[in-house]
This record gives sequence, C-alpha cells and structure tokens, in this order.
Amino acid sequence: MKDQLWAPASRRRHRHLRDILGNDGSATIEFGLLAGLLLVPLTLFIVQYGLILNATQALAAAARVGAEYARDSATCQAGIQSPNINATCTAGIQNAMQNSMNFSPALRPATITLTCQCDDQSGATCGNSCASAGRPPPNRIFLRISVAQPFIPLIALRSTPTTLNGLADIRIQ
Amino acid sequence: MALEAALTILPLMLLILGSIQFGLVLWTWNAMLLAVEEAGRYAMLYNPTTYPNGPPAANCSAATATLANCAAAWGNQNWDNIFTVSCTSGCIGAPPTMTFTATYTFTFINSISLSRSIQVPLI
Repeated sequence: MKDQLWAPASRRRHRHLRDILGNDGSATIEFGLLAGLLLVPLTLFIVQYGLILNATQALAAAARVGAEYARDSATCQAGIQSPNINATCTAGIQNAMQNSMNFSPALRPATITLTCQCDDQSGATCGNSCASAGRPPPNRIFLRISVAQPFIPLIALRSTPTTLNGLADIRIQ
Repeated sequence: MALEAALTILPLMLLILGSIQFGLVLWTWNAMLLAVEEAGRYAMLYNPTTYPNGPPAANCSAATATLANCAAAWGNQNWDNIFTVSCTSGCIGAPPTMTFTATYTFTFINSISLSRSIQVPLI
C-alpha cells in the first residue's frame, strides 16, 4: 500500500482502471452478454424451428384431408366434369381443411387447380372428352390443393416466413 | 474456477438435455399427427356412403368392426401401437365428420402428456 501511494509518477501513469476496480462482477457481465446474445436467441430459434416444422406438417395433413374430400364427395365429383370445380365443392374442401385441426389463425382460401390427361398420359383440356377426340379414354383428372396459413414468428428476421404452405395432389378420376 | 465450471455446466447441460427432449417430443408429436391422419384417411376412404356395410373385413383388425374402431386400429397398427389412437367424436353410425385423437405420455427428463386430433369429413 505504501509503495503504491508513494510510487514515482512515471509508474503511476501506467496503472489501468482495471487495477483499481478489480475483476469483481465481470463474470456476471460476461454471462449476461452470453445469455442475451447467444443462449436466449438460440433457444428461441430452436423453438421457432419446431413451430414452423409442426405447422408445415399440419398444413400438409390438412391439404390431404381436403384432397380426400374432393375425391369422395358427390358434390365435387359432379362438379369436376366441367373445366372448373364448382363453388360448393371448393367451399366443402376449404371447410374440411379448416375444421380438420381447427387452424388458428384461419387458413387462407386454398388454390385448387385441375389438370387433365387422356389415358396415355398426354395432356388434355379439362372438360373435353378424350373419347370424342379419338384419343385414349377415359379422361384422367388430377387435383392440386395449395393451402396457406399466416405464421406469427417468435423472432422475425427477413428470412422468417410470414406464411406457411401445404400442398397435396390427388387423382380424382 | 471449479465453482464457475459447476455453475456454467449445470445450465448448459440443462439446455442441451432440454434441446434433446424438445427434439424427441417434436418427433413424437409429428408422428402422432401421421397416426391420426392414417386413421382419418381410412375413415374417409371407407366412408358409410360408399361402404354402407362397413369396411371390408380383410382390412380391419378391430374386434368390433365398426368404421371408427377399424380406422383407429389402422392408425394404431401403422405405428406399432406406440400411441393410443381412438375415435373421440362422431364415432357411431354415419356422422358427417369423425374425430380421431392420439394420446401418448412421453418420458425423458420429465413426463409430458401429448395429444393430437384430426377431424375428417365422411361426406
């Protein structure tokens, strides 16, 4: 102590603030930085990844429920003879998907598209009979359902999706 | 130093084990969705309108061959009976919709009861 107090001016100039304050509390600060910058974001990202994965799987399952509805429902089967699916069928598909897992936030209106082929897998215009055109019958009709749900992220980055999608293809005739 | 190591390693281990448990629960949770989905698709496929006499006997392993029982059995057997898939709503007759629920108690660090449902239209 005496040495320090009476140290020559040249030596005193080289003393740093750290020598005076000591190391008390630095571990707390370091832990605070580590927890705040690394551990907490890491944990939140793991949880968010799980939420996205789960919601995506649920959407895929809902799309398959909708596709199965389109294949089995008499309303849909009556409607698909024309180039477009009728509104009752579309509403039925949407309803079946929404109710399958009580989605919240609600599913967006699904995009439902029909593609048609003749029996040799060549493309055909939906609503036109392959048999009447002298091509291999019967018509094959495929349905694609694309459904989306808004996603509310825990941590929003530019790359975080704001909507998640589910897709299902099914041959309905 | 040893004290600091002990203080750091404890939360770190908790974080690592917690992440492992989270992953396992997530996997199970997803598998349960697939199991109820299998049951649901069975019910939709063998719906009472198309199959008024119930599902074909060859495709049903349930003791009492109702559509709900057969579908639940299908969902169960496709996942080696790990989960308990059962019909929880609209299980009798020809209802407009049927609900299947899978339940499972997950045990790793602690016990977590998982449950997953799907409602399917029977047209």
